[in-house]
Amino acid sequence: MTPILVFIAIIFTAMMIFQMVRPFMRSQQERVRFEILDHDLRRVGELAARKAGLLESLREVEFDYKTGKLTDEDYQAAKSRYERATIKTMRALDEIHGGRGWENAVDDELNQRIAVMQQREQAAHRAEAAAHSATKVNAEIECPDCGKQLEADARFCSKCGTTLEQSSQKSGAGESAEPKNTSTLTKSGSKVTI
Amino acid sequence: MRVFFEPNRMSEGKEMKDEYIDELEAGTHHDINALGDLDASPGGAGVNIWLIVAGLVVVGILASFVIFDGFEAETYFYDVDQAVAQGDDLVGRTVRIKGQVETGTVQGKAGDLGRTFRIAEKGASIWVSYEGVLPDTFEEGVEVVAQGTVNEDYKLVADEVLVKCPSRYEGGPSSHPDEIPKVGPQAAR
Amino acid sequence: MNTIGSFAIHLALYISLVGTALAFVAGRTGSKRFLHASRFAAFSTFGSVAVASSILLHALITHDFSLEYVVSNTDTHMPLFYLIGSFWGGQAGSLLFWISIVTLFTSLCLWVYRDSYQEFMPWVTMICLAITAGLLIILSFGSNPFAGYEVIHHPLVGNGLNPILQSPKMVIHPPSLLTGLASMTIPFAFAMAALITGSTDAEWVKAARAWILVPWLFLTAGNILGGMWAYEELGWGGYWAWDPVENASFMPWLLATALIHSLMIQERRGMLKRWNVGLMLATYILTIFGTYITRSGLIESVHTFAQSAIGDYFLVFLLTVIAISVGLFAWRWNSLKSTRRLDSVASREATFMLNNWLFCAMTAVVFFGTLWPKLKEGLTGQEVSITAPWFDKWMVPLAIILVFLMGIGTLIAWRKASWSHFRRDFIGPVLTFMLGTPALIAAYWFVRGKDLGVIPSGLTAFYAIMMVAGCVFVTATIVQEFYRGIQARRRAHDESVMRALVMLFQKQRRRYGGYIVHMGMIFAFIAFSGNALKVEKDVALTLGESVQVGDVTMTFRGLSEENPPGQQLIIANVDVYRGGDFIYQMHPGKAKFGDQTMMTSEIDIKSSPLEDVYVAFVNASENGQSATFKVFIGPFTWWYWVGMVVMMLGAFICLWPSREAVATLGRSPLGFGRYMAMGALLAVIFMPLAVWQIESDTDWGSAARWQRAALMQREQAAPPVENDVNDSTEPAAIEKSS
Repeated sequence: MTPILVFIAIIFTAMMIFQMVRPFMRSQQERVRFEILDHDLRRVGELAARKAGLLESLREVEFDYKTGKLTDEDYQAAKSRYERATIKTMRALDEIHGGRGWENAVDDELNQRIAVMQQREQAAHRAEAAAHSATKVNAEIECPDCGKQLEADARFCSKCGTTLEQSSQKSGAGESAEPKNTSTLTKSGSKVTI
Repeated sequence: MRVFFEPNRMSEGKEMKDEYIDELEAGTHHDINALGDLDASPGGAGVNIWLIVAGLVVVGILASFVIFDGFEAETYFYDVDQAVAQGDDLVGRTVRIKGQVETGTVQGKAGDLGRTFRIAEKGASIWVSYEGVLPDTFEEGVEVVAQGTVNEDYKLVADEVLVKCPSRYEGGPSSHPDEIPKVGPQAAR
Repeated sequence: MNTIGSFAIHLALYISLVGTALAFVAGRTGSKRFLHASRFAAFSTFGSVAVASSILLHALITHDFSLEYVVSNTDTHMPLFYLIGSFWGGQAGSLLFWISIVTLFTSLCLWVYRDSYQEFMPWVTMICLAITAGLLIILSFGSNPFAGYEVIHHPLVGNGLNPILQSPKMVIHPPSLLTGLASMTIPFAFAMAALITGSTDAEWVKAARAWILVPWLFLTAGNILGGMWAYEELGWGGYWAWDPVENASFMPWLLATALIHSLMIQERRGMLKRWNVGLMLATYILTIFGTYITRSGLIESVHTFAQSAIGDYFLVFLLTVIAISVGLFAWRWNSLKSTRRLDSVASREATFMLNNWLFCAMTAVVFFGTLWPKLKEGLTGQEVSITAPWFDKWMVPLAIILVFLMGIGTLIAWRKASWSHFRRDFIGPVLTFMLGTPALIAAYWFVRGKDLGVIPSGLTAFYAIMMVAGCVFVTATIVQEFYRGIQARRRAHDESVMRALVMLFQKQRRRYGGYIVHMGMIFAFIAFSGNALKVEKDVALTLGESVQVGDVTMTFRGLSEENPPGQQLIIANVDVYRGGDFIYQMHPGKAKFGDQTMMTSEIDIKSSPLEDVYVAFVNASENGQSATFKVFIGPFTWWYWVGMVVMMLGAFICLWPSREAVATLGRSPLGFGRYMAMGALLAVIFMPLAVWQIESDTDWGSAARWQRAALMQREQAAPPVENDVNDSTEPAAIEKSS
């Protein structure tokens, strides 16, 4: 009987150790998802806990009054404060929940952000490749639209006719107004930094 | 952000509490449990510094009562030679004395309770009398610890007699109460 | 297997250190990755420790005598129940058990709060893992359960467990106490997290209130079970001796109880913030301190383990904990200022504050009495002891004040109690105790008390009467509270009395569960007041001779002897009469098992709500014609065990999660599963009392059961124990395993 226990314990430990190191092995995209999702989850949790606490306090105040440990005045004052606080909390909760579709909302936001990031990354890669190939004599560049290999100093694509931007400008496209690793959620307005 | 209440300003307090609720809405307030603040009215008697001093003095006096009583309640532990070395100071004191039961000194009627015997250590000895049931590990030559009061005849009238026997297990304490071996649980090291 | 066990312990140490660092980073940077990683580090530590524990358990059950621990604590004849119990029977194993509980509770806490208290959790994790690491250091280097066996001495059979410890209660008492002490780590970690983050509000209080009930529950049960064992096995007729190690686990209990009440005030009114943090830190420091004095051999008592270097390790650990927690407390002293002032001395807040002071005073008294002898010996070399009468002298009046406070605190209003409120609420209970106490005491006296033949001294009688008065007062207040509560519910909802009562427990779980706990405490106090009339007598009887002890007459009817192979059993038969009527026969006895050199005593106790009749057989003459006994008549001792059960019941009611709480955990209330769990818990809670009553009323609790066992053995063939055959084929020399 005990060998089975030992075995189960060993498997469990191995799984936990794996989970322990996993956050550091993830790709940047996964990490973004992790941090953002967690943040909003936390807000919901906090508000829910606050609501539960308020409800419990309301109940206790009610009870103390009924069993004669609070004066009328104190009771009315306390009750109205608690009730209003509860209603505000519940409203805040509803806002985040967004009618129970909140997880989808966060997912959409995330996908958007990730897509934008991916584009920027690709652009940066291309800029690097272009800068790299521009320094070589016989280097070639790709047309961004049709992918045809062209000469480094070509001004427009010979296949599809797209005007080619200068490589120096391309590398500049990697930078943008926002630093790459922050994003702002539209719904809650919170800024998340990775 | 913490909310401070001023004394006897009911209306202002009311406003402050509404502010608090707005903070809740904005999500900037963390104080779930200062919600106790909501049903409290401001003010109340302040705690005087002299009240604190008086309180400390009272506590100090009580503590010294307890401590000095503790000193008096100390039951000294002596080996027989140390006890006898006290001379007349020993009379009337409640002490614990350890010694070996001298052979041939155990007196008492068979079938009756109560025995008188002499214990000795390092050449000194003292008489002990005990009215209760002696542990069955008790016999001549064993080491005992007797607790009791020394009377004017320089005899220890014992309330308790414990028999020390060699512990079977390493390191366990070796004194026993009256009839049950009182050995510590297994020592691993 | 054993190398894996040793490796698992070292791995756990490594992971807990890594986890501490991860948690620290998570706390400082707010990074979710590090938080997640540290959480799983805690789970991994638990897993690793679980591996080590299961391997040790396996070694014990399979009699793996290549481990010194197994040799020292077991032998081939021990039944499975005691083999499991030997896990915590020795120094190293009990330390491993302690660590298992710490990691188990840490993991539970981190998992339950995985989505909440985000500000705190990194720090809570860090503290818990740091403590785990410290303990693991002590385990790995000071007292490794997987240490190989070095000296050849009974390697094939084992030294076995002292027979006095082979009683079921002795198997249950240590883990209960150890669990209580170990799980104190969690609320402590929350308090430390509050200090580290400088959080000025009371979020830690909410978590602490939930998590401190569990250690409290186990401490209560553990302390009382220890008393039950001492009463039943040690033969001095009592259940609490103010023994240093008893005191060591009593002091944290006192402060934890104070803390539970004080937290209530902070949660409702934001007051007593410094008190609460201080009490929490002090409780935990006393926990470690208690462990230190028990394990270091500093204090000799029934419980001491061998002197070893482990004492020094624990001292370092203790000093570190003290330094860091006191330092943090001092640093944050100012930010813990209460925003509320005390409105009136006649208020619930003031009563609770007085309560805190009272518990602190009791703790201080016990602390002084326990430590002073050691201090004096260290300073002057003179060995002294402070005995039970001194403790009783100071603790009894404090306890009486406590009982009255229990009642007052229940009734008094918040903020400021008015005269009209006092009239309405207090009049009932006050009248009840003023009229009821003399009535009850007189009733008891004339029905049974005077027969005991004990006239207590003036002071003792006074204390006993005051204690009873306090108990009546508190009972009246609790009854009144229930009555008012049911009335309130019935006015608001259309409910029957029964339904209203059930709903009270559902809706106001902490309050009414708390009242149940108080009732349990009252039962315990009733038991204490019974000691005023306790009778103790040593008797020597010849065959057929009778003696009057207290209200019963005992007649010695002779001895019976049984000698099954390897055992020597002597059973004394004593008839007991009360008022001329025969009530029962008692069978105290003595036995020698196997190759033990000492005889163990089986004490017979007949326990009933009014009194316990307790007979211990000391010795007998060679021809069996006469025998000596120690007899105790203890009024109301039974109520102490009932008190324990009721307190556990109350604590469980408080702990039971409400529907809302379960829902916020993200799962549905479990329905049938819940009732099953409830039933199982109830069975566990009531078991000690059930066992006690069965042992008292039947032969199972006395030496007579040996007769039955011997009878059974004679009927069966008696084969040699199987293990011996296998063992003899192993080589006599056992090499040390790494």
